Amino acid sequence: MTTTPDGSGGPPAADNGFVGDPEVQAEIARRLAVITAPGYEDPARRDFTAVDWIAFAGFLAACAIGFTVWGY
Amino acid sequence: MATLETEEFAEQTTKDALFGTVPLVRGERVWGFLDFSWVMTGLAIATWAFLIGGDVVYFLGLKAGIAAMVLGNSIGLFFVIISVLANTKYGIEHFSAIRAVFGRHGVKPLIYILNFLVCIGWTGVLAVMFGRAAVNIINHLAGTEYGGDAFLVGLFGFAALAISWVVVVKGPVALKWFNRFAAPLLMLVLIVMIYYIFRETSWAQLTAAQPLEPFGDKQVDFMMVVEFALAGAVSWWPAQGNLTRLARTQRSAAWAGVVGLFVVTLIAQTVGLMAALTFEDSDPTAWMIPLTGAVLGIVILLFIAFANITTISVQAYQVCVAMRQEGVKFLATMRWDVLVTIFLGLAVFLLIKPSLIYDNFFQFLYWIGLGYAPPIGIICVDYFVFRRQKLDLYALYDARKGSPYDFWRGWNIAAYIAVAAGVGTFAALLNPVTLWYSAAFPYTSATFASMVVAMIVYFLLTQLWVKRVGKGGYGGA
Repeated sequence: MTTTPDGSGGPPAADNGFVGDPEVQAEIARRLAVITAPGYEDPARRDFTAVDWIAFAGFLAACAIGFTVWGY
Repeated sequence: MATLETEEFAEQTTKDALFGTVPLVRGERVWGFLDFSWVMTGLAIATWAFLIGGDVVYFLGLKAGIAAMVLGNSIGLFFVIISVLANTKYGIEHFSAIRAVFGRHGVKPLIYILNFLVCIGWTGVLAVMFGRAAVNIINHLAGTEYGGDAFLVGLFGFAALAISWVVVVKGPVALKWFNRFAAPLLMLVLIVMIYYIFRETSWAQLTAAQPLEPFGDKQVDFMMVVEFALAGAVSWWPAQGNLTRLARTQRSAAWAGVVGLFVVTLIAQTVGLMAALTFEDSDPTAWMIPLTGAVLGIVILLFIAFANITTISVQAYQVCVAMRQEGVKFLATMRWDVLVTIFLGLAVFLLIKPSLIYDNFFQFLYWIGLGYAPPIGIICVDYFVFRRQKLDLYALYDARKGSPYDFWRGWNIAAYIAVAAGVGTFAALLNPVTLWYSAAFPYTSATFASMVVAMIVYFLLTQLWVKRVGKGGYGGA
């Protein structure tokens, strides 16, 4: 339900274990610092609610059952 | 000079590819529900939707065919869409996100073997479609009767690959422009087809039309179609996984997927089925001239041919970029034109006998179901059951031994055992080559059963083994 960060495994250490292009490593580290910061908010972090699950799964299930009954 | 430009372009693509995989921050998520629905619609309305709908004609008539396609797509898309919600949540690139399941090195076979082979298959299908479209035009204009396996089909298919090679090697800037028009024009083709189908045929006639080569057992025929509709749905997995991180919310990402990949796809597949029933032919390139007349039919065939070049080029570009980004040195440093040649060159083998993959397109879909369904199921169990929708973002990029997602030297053995169990289940239920099926298949499907078995095996192995030995970062997640 929360839109604040919940995926942080801790701040990047001096050796954060990233491999590959140094520029890209730095960019990944910079972005991870942003999106795992305590004050970071993003609507995308909001997980499906119970209503979302019922609507989403229910719509697909209703279509599947309805059309099968109609067409089979 | 040309070589230098090519190399500069290659270097740039590698750089773009690498920077394209970094996590997105809030401001970079550009798609709300309507934007993303349009993107999904553009993806769904490609020419292959007609192929899938057309292949239903082998097994079922209109009503049962629609029902089976809806059922298969519902099940497949449900799992595809929820399996990539994490990508939206964290803005993480698809194959980076699933390092949490397969391990840092464990994702590589999914990229370099599974995704690579599937894309070669799609490329071959689209190249043959180009060839068939061209030959249909020639047959009509010159009064010839070249068949589906004629040398000319392969030759034109090869031409499609060669044109795509030039586009991808020289820089796919033109593709951006063509792509803006391709989806709306394909939608127009769809509307034109619906108009002409119902001008010539009634709903009653369509529902009375019989399938071409049914097994004769309605349940088996129904499940064969459910099976390849389901496999067609799971084939969206890598594309959906990467695009969905640009959506602003998980809710909009999921519903846009439903609009584009479910509703629009089903409309296009249904039109394909109607046309196939009308002309008793599963090949979309055979419908257009008889359906709309010579002039409009040729225009549509030419458009389909070029739409396929666009799709081949986009696919080749994305696959070759992906090959450079995941830490295999010789691929990352390989000359760009050589890499593109290898990818498109492998698709040439499928042109030797075009009908092999094109006229058995649904069997190609079965292979996709076999390959993609177990990983999708496993990802759902891992993300929703074990990780409770929380990923350790730093761990996704941490290559150190003993890091949370290191598992065993970068490989999650449990995930691969579960995939093997899923694949074995599929093979025990359905042979994608001979279409042999077991007694249980008409009731379980092969793709769905393989996904469920993989999920159960993964759950048990992770619960009883992986967590107990402290691998996978489950304790701290």
